[in-house]
Amino acid sequence: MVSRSRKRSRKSALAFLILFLAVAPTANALGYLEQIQVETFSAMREVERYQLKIAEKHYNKNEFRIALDEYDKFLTLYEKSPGAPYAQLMWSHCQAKLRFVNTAIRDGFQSVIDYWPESQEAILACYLIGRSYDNIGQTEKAESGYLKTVNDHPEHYVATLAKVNLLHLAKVQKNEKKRMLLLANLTFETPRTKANSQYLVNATRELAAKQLYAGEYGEAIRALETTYKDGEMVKVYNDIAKGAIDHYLRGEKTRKQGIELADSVVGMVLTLIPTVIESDADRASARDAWHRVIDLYARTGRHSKVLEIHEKMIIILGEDDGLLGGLATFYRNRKLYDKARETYRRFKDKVNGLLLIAGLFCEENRYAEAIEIYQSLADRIVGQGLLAGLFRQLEKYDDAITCYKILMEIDRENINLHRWAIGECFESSNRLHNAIAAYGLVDDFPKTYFKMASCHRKLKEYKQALMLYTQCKVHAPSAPDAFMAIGFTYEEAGQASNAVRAFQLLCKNYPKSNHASRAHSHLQSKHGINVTLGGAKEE
Amino acid sequence: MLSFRQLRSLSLRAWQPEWRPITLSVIATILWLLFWCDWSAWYLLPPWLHWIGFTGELGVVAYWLYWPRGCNRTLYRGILSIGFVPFWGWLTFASSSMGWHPLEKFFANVGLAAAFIIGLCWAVWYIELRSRHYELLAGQSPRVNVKRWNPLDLAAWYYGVKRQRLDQSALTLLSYCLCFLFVVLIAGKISGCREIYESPLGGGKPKKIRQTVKIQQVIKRKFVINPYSAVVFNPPPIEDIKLQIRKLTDNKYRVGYGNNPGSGFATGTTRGKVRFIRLEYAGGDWDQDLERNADLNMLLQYGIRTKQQVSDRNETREIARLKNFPAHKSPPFVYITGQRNLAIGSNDQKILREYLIEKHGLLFADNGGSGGWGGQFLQLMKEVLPTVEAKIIPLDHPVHRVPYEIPFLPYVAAHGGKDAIGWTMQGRLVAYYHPGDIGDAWADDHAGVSRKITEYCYQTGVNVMFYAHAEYHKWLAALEKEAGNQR
Repeated sequence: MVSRSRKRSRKSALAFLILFLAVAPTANALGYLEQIQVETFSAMREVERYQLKIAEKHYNKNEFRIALDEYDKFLTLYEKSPGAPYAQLMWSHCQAKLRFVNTAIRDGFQSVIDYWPESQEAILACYLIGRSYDNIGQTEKAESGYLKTVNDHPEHYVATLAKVNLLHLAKVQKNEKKRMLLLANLTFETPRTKANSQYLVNATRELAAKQLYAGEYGEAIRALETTYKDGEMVKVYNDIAKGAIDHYLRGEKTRKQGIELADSVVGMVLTLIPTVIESDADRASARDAWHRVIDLYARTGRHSKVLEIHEKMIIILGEDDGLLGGLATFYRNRKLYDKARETYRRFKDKVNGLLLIAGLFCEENRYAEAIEIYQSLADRIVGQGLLAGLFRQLEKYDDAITCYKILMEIDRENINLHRWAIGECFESSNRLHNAIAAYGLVDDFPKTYFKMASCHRKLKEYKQALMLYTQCKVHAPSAPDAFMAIGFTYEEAGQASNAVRAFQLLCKNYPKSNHASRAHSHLQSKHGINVTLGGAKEE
Repeated sequence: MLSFRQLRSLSLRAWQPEWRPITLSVIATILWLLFWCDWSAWYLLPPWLHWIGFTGELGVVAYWLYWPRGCNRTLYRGILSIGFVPFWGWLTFASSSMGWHPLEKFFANVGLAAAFIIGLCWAVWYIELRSRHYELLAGQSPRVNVKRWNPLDLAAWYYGVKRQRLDQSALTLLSYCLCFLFVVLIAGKISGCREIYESPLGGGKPKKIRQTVKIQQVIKRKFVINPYSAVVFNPPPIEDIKLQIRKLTDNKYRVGYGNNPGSGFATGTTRGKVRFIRLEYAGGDWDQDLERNADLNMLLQYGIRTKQQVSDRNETREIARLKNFPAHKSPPFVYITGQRNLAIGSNDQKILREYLIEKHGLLFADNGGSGGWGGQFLQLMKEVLPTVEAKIIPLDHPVHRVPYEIPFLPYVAAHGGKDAIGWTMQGRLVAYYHPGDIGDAWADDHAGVSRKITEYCYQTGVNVMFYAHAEYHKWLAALEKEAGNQR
């Protein structure tokens, strides 16, 4: 008896595993409103599952016309199958994707409700009718669809989705009263599940933010308390209050209110700091709270208090690079560069400190000191890279090229990048032949070809440029770019008729691309050519 | 008041040979004014009658220029000055009728400036003449200490004691400018304040077009061959025998809305016509493809396909002029296109909003050549209709189904996506945005796109125009019904 029951349980486990493997890949690709229930799938016959999987394969590949036929076939062959409502639902999804939304509603979603009113798919269809109307701008019908979903299936996940969409419609219609009612409903009345939790959290935060803007601080806290507890609630309250504080501070009359709100938030945040700081967790929470206080004081323009807290943090928590960095940034923002440098020098990570000091010198236009620091760095790859960047910024291209050449020797892994950078330096300093040679060494087709061709165009060597662009046409994704460039090259070479031909070919061969749009306009505005060819292709 | 006898004698005198030219000229001038009003606002007369009217007035001017030779120079100059107005009108009308819109604008502006200068010259001349006359009178008569008010008299008290002539000139210029401005405003109002749009009277149903093809007779050539004949025959194979089929093709379907005979709309009028109005705006190329007859071709195609009465010319209007149409005689749709900047001020936005919502209009927008224009149009619509979201119009929306079933959205170049975008209010489409330069396909050379795409572009245009008209007349019919119920 025992062995038989074991065998049976093994068999059922195997069957479940097979079933899971069969469903899992498709379930991952499809959204919640497009998935079949596992129970329904397990109740179907093998042939039915096979037919559904064929249809789904096309659906996932965005071949909606074929998928539509496959779902249609399923409905014809297996009308009595438990998967029929799902097939009908997916048929409707296909119609909607093919831009036949009214057909999807009338012949699809509504049919699911009419023929299989007790099915899970009927509930989804009820919501999808509202959403489909919403997608085509029929707001009145969409609203009634959503309301029907909320009334008929109040406990279901789609009811939350319907409420969220109603909220969006109210926002668009600028109906504040309705919006507040929906937010309150989502915050206080809608039962929370794992699935709808994120929507409800967002609604809670939105409601709290609106109440803060309206000066109803207590109500905002009450709303947040439905979702967050203690310390977490204070942090979220702080995050949301920032926007309201900025809003109040902008107005001359409301400025005082802004400062008061900031102070009240500071009071709440300070309660998060443990009275005794012993563990790392205590230190982390104290640091986070102080940073929040610093941010609030900075918003209200009380810089002396900001400095006070920075110094207090360093004294209580001990000196570390993070805290020193914060203090240095404060000095840097106040343009107290010497004090900032002094603070960077106290860094434990000396290299990082030096790099930040060099950055500060660059900010002050004291490049010689910055170069000296970069040259003194022990990590030559980093030092030479930064040096080359600085030289390029200062338009000292020869020095930059020297750095890149050194980098080519010491950092061979990224040799292509350094060659490319040398090419760019030559191009920027107008030594175009050298630039072409440098780009030619980089193995990155068709990017290098485009660059080389652009240099040839600057040198008025149009024939060479055209040859390179013609080769780029082989690379299918770059072909419209190449056609466009060929057109412009012919234009620069004074061969207007060839340019027109290139632009027309672009319009004709790639009518969907953005380049075709540009070529079409260019032909009309520059050449006065109205016969641009092109045009839509049947899809 | 004149008595009947006095009127009779006046009319008899007017037809006497010495007064006849003046009487005829006055009549011609009144007719010219009526033609001008019709051309710029009423749209009741056909263009050939406009040509006759405007050119005929030039004949009157020529007669008066010929007539006074030898008479005094002032009178001749006066005739020249008055004759300038019909000449200016003719130039503007002719350039407009020929479709040379930049030239029309040029003539309109230059003519206005010339009219201003001519009028100013005459004002200065007259003031100078009169003030000299008063100076002469003052020199002849003894000095009387009376406060003078006449602005033509240099001794008027408000000119003071010093620089009287300068003050008089300044007053003349100011008064003339005000008068000219007033006249221009009045003229502008005349041409704009009473615009009406009337759709053709008729009926029909908003259904797909289906052609009825009935084969009337099949004539088949018969070859009668005697199988025992001594002559060898070579009868042609069966597939080479041509069937002569006489088809009776008739479009039984009437495109429209209502139960009246003929294609049209139940709330239309017998003189009503479907018109194609393009909106003018500042900052860009609103007149794109206009000289290539894009609008006119579309309008004519609409007439051919729907059998509704259509105007024989396309029109353009500034957005501000949309407010001149009364709600119940307003154009059901207006067209806007371009590829550069779309600068529409807040006042025009307000007018557009009123047109779309209160006058039940539809804005048919076509991206003429850049993503930038499309973005600007979407932004404009956000400001015009802030509480309505832009949504993709499905292919099974009535605007893509009736009277033609469009299988996919046709475009010339995809400047701003590949889907039509719509703004819907209370179930009605108030704006239709085509992203792919559909107007280029309507133009004379169809931008070189395939015949099939051109055909679909025309069909899309017909659908949008018909949708706008049908929705507008549904609204009018509903209003009429409501009014009937209240009575």
